Amino acid sequence: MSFTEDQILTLAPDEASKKSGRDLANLSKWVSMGADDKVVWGECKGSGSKPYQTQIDYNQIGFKCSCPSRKFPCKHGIGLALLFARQQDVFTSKKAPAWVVEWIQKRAVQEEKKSEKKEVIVDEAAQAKRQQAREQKVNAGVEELQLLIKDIVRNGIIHMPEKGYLFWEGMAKRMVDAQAPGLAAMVKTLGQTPFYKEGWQSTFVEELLNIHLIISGYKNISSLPELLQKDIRTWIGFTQSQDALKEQNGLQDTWLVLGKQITEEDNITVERNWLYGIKSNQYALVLQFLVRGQGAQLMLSPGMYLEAELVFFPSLTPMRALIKQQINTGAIALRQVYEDWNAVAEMETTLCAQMPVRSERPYVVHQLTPVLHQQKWWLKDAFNRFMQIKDDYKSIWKLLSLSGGEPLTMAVIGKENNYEPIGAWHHNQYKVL
Amino acid sequence: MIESWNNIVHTAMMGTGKRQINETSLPEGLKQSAQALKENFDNQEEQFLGLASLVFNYRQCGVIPFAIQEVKETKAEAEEQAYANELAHQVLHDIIQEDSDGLLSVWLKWCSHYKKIVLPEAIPVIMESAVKNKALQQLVLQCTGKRGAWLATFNDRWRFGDTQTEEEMWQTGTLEQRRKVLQRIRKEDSGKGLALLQSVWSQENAATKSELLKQLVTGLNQEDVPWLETLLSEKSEKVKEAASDLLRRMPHSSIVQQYSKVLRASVKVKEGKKILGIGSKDSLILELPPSVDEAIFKAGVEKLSNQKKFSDQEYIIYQLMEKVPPRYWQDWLQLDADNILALFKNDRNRKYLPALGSAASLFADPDWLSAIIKADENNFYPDVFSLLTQKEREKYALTFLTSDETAPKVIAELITHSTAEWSVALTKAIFQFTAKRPYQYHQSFYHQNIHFIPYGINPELESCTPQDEYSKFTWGKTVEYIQRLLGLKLRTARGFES
Repeated sequence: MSFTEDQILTLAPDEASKKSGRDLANLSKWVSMGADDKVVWGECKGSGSKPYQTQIDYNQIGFKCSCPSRKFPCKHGIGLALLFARQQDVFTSKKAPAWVVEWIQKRAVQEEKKSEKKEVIVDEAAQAKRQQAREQKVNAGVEELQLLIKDIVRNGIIHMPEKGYLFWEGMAKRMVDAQAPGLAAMVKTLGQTPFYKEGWQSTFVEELLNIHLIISGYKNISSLPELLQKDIRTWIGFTQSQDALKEQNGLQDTWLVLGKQITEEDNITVERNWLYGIKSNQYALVLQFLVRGQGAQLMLSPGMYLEAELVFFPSLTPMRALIKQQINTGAIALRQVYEDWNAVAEMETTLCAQMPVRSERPYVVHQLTPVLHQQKWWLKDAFNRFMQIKDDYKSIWKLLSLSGGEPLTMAVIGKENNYEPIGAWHHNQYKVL
Repeated sequence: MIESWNNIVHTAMMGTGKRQINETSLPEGLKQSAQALKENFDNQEEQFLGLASLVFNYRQCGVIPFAIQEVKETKAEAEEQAYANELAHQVLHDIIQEDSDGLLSVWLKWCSHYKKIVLPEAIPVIMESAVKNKALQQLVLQCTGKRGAWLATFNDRWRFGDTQTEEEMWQTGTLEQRRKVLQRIRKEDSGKGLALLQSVWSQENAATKSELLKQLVTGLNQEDVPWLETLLSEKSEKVKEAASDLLRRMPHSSIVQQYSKVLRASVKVKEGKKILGIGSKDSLILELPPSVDEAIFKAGVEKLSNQKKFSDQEYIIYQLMEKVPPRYWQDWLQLDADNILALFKNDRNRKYLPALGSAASLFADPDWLSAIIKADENNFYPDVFSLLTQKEREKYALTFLTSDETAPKVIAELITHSTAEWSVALTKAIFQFTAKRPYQYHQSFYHQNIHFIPYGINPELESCTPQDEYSKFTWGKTVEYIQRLLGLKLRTARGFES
């Protein structure tokens, strides 16, 4: 079990923790260190007389430290992990001390409790009433939004750039009031169309049509197949019980964390962790929402491999998933990937035919070469077919440097004909971009 | 399909109140659905939204990859050198996070010394470091191998090496490139360099002439003098000044001869009185002659003194002494350097000693410089640094690091002229000064000069702690910072030696 330094540093909650963690990755700061096949532990000199006791569960990725820091993982955890990544041979003690054994035992008990089925007593009548009230609110919100869309279409979108932030914020808030947070997010996205860019009109119309499709689907939901109903309700903003979901059987596989995208939305950090099941060839999106000051439940680092059981949210095109349980593991070789861009395009066609309103998704594609053509970067497949790399792609130089003009199997994210590589296999090692 | 979509967007722009979708532009496969939509929805907005959604999804489903003909592709050549090991790359990663050019140069030097190269994923970051810090460029070129050279073909900012021939650069390059070519040729063969400049002289404008002329300082010799003398009648003041500046460095040029003539006439030795074989020392009288060649004032000598301790006449003499080779004194007085300097060791003449130091530096006379620093232990001669070896420089610097007045200049000169790590003793002396002045020498000072700071200073850091409470506190933080940087330096060495 081991992680690269980059993987460890992505677990840090902020830049200050990364910096402090690096400072503590220094033998002189640690009074004692040890490791067995599951846990790494150490005692770090602090400002007090008693050193801080720090431990890391490498199988289930968890950190614990006796320091008073509210950050998670704290700088001691990061420092210990970095030291272990660099110099495993100095972790000479193999017998875990009592404070480590106690923690591991507690974690095992907690895991057992989580997997036990919970009996929940539900007042069904009250629940039905709440659901009905919500449906009514959502219906009203949908009607209001449909009127807005029709007004926009009737009068033309030419004046949309003049509307301003408050207009879209106002409408989004009305959707939140209507208990349709998904629609609120779609309205915000519409308002965030880059009106200063050439071609904004096409982007705006696409997003407008997405909203129209969702609300039309919602208005006719009873006539739709069950899974499509679930997709539409998800887009509206109806959630599904994660506890109930976790009780279902999931897909067991060795998953590679292809990449992580982090955004800030209303003071909440949203982590999009893209996973790929090596044996099942299944892709998954695991979301994590972090409020400032709270530690992360999931410790996923791009490039990490884990043996895990994932449960997928029901959908025509399953992507979002929850991790039921995970154990970190070593890398394994890829088995099946998309051979070329035609295969990707065929999948895109299939997915669009099932559900026209879609977000970007990942693909692992065989042997792509980054090439420059007419001042733009493209990815060429093994059959000389090309898809464009997104204009604002920041890792082009790292990608080009890894490639050297040779093809690489890459993990890309995108849709239609615009993609961005998030990782590539270089000399059989997955490198995050 | 593009036409259909554009039709949708144009209609959306104008609004359904003013424009309808042109159904003839729809793909055949959608025409029937379009008709059905018209029949099912009674208002124009719903018809438009329905049809537009159909076209939108038809477009999404129909995406195929591009087939581009004639794409120019190149590949990087295979590497000839081995990559630096994982340990070394781990340190490199930390050095990059630290954003320390000093540590990066240390790492690159180790990498170059062991004839290794960096892994491809690290190349873009260190290329960017070299864009910001030109001093790293040659090292980066050495350590990025064939991959780096190939990447540079895509990014002009990374073209540190010269891809053109010298001939091409001289004929068509930028001024900076032409300067480098001339400098290199002058180093190799000064006559060839002179001929090269002379061959293009008449075609160049004044600004270029003066910049290229300055490069003749490399390999400057007596053979250059006749041509440089002709440039004193050029139209451009810049060119004349550049030529004069070069001629002032040549002992036998007309300018220096002018200075020398006036100075010679200003120097007299008064013999000391002797009685019964015992006498007082000879003394040196410095006095301008009654009439002075006015030409010297046109050739860079100021008439009026700008220093309190010199009268106008004395200041003229001082300037002349700065501009005349010190060896001339040996011819005039038939004495060696030490004895000549002894004549300046009195209250009246001591103030002229720095002028002799400047002259020794201008005419690159290390013997005279050594004699002067021996004779005048109270003044710091920064010009000495460029002529001393590292060991001599350190010995000289240590003498002046204890003085508050001279220590800052000494430190600045050490940073400019040092090419290797300082000794522990020198570093300790520097830190004993800088530790007391945290506002002047904060962490960025140690960050920028870490490549000079030896690891051996570690045990001495505590002993540099100043007395006053505030400086003591900040020094404590600074020590932690220095130790972190030194740790990275040590890890670099270990990374390559393992």
